[in-house]
Amino acid sequence: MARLTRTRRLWFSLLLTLVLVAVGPSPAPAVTLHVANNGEDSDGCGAEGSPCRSISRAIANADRGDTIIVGPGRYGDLDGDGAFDGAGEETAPAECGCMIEVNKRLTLQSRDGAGVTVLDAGGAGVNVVRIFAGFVIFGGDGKGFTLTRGNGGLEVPLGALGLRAEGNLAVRNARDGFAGQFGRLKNNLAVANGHNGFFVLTSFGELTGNLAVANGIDGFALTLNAARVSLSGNRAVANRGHGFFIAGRKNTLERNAVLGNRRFGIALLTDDVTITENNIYGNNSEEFNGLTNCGLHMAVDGSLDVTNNFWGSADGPGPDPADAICNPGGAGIDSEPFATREFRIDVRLPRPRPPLPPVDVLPHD
Amino acid sequence: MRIAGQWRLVPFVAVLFWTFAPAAGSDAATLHVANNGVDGFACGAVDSPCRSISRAIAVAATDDTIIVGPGRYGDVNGDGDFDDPGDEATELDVGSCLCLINVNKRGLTIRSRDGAAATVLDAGGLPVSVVHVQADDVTLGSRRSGFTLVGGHRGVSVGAGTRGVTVDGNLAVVDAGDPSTDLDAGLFDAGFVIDGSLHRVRYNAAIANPALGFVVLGDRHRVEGNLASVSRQQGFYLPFGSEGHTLVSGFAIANGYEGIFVDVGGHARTLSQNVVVGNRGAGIALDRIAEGPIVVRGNNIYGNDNSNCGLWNNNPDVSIDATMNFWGFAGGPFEDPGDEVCNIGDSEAVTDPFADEEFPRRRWDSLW
Repeated sequence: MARLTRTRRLWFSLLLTLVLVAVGPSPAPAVTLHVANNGEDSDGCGAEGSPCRSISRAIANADRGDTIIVGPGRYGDLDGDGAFDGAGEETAPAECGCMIEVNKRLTLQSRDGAGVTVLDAGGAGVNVVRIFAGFVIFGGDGKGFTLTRGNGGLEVPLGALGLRAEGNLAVRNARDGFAGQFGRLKNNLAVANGHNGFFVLTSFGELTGNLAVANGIDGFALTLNAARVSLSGNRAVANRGHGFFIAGRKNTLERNAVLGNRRFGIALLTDDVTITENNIYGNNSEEFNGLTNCGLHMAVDGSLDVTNNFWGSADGPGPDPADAICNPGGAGIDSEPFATREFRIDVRLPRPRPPLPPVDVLPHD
Repeated sequence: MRIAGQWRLVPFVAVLFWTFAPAAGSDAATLHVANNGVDGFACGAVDSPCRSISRAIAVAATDDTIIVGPGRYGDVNGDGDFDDPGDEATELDVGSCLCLINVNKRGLTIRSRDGAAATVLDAGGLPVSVVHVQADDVTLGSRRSGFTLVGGHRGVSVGAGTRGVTVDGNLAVVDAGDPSTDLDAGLFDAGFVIDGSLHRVRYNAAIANPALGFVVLGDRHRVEGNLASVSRQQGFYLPFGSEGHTLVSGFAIANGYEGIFVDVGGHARTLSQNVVVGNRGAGIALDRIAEGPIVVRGNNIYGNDNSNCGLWNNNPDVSIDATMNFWGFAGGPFEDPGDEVCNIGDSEAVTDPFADEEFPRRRWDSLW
């Protein structure tokens, strides 16, 4: 093999250096940090035997790609003095407008499930959690959080791509339960929030198996910028506004339950939407814009195919007890063939209960 | 071998029994309620469901089952009254149940078809119970077939004098009044108010209620696997006159006052296998209980009380067995990060032996 010239050796060394700089040092292996109500915050907290007290501290101690496991209990303003400045309290940075800021690509999960793991903003006028980083995983099957008493529950500002949120409960927040830009939302519950259960701002998300119940405005609201969002297996029940409000284009509603919402079951500002195999009935029992009983309301002109939905009656859309189709915008809406019986909407079953502790700790019973 | 005369009748009697026993059992019917139903005098068949649960109860007989489809039940058209087609009956007169739905027939079973989160009983902000049970042996909900109760001051109330009621798998997010600001606030506004005797209250959740989570009155109820979280006041409250209850495998999480509070003159026999974590008041408070013994055992108790009292004990005349609990610290009840036992005056709670690690993971099964 011919020997490299001095110049070529120089170029080779330079190239190798550039490659090494570009690749950088190998990243530290992902680790798991722990947070618990009997933890203590410190610069080094997070090991299983020395958990942090606050999720914010664990986030600060974590590196990109790490996992944070949160034990049961309350996280937030622990002493209830209205400020987030006590030991173990979440940091609530002012510029975030939130109680917990997730600014790294992390996985955050509860150890024992949403019901017993409470992120409580205490009515301080901030969102409970705001996620600024991309590809965060928040919750999981049986590993979610309760988000309560915030301005909003979980908010994902524009630019934070690919969020996956699963198994969380947003309850009694002043505004939306879940709002922003979502990658995948699965099996979350928004109940009794002041505004919308789920407020979708951008395109290409996937919402499956979520429930919006008794919220102050709409169950699921998709803005004009929310296009190509897939909604399947969700249930919008007993919301004060519409079950689903759809303004953006090319969204798909398939196998959802839209039941007992006070305004329209599905309110459309577009005719570019796919709506099929949904159960739609018991909606708009309360007069709105002079209308009642509208399972689907389309305010714009155009043409729409809503065949193969169940409208509450084997005879298709119409007067009570069915829901009707209302098109004051003059659109041509094709609803036949319609389903003559209800579709089965997949219902998530409770996880099996774990065995109880040994009986030797049990007293008489 | 000859059979004695009276024994020859046995096959005949057996045939009679088997002939008529199933017939007697089949008297219990199943009625259906749905958001696309219509109330009528004979509604309830699967293809002609009632619109309101109240109507189905009126049509039902003792021991019948009512299956409720998903959707919203209450003031259907939201006009503020309850006299339109499909509205729940709602009793508001003095001396009535003060409730949206009154379950007043013995042995009724009322379940949802699609589970609690999809089946909403909405009292529309009235200071009433969403459901009131005033008959024996009623079952409201089951683990996968409960109800969401909103818009009242009490989610489910079970009346004094009742016996053997089961309340199972329901979620209460009610508008219970804040006594400091709300003139309509009742003494026991809560997700669940249970009076009477020998009831089973299990796998229910009271979440983010403005007053109490569960109020346990009466005697000898088994309160199992329930969740009280983020109540403004106590998670589980046992006031004067409550007697001999068993609270087991429950969760009192992040409530504004105590997690479990047995107040002056109240009593529980057993508080066991509970998770009592992150409450602003003491985890468990026992204040001059009516009598001993009371056993507090097998619980996870930590992260409670700004003063760090996992157990607050003001019972100078009653011995409290609080052994085999986990206090958040391997060394037993202690200062932060563990919880302590706060004995008032001459009170004394026995805590040794204690658990040196947390009891196995106890998840709360979600209702949705």
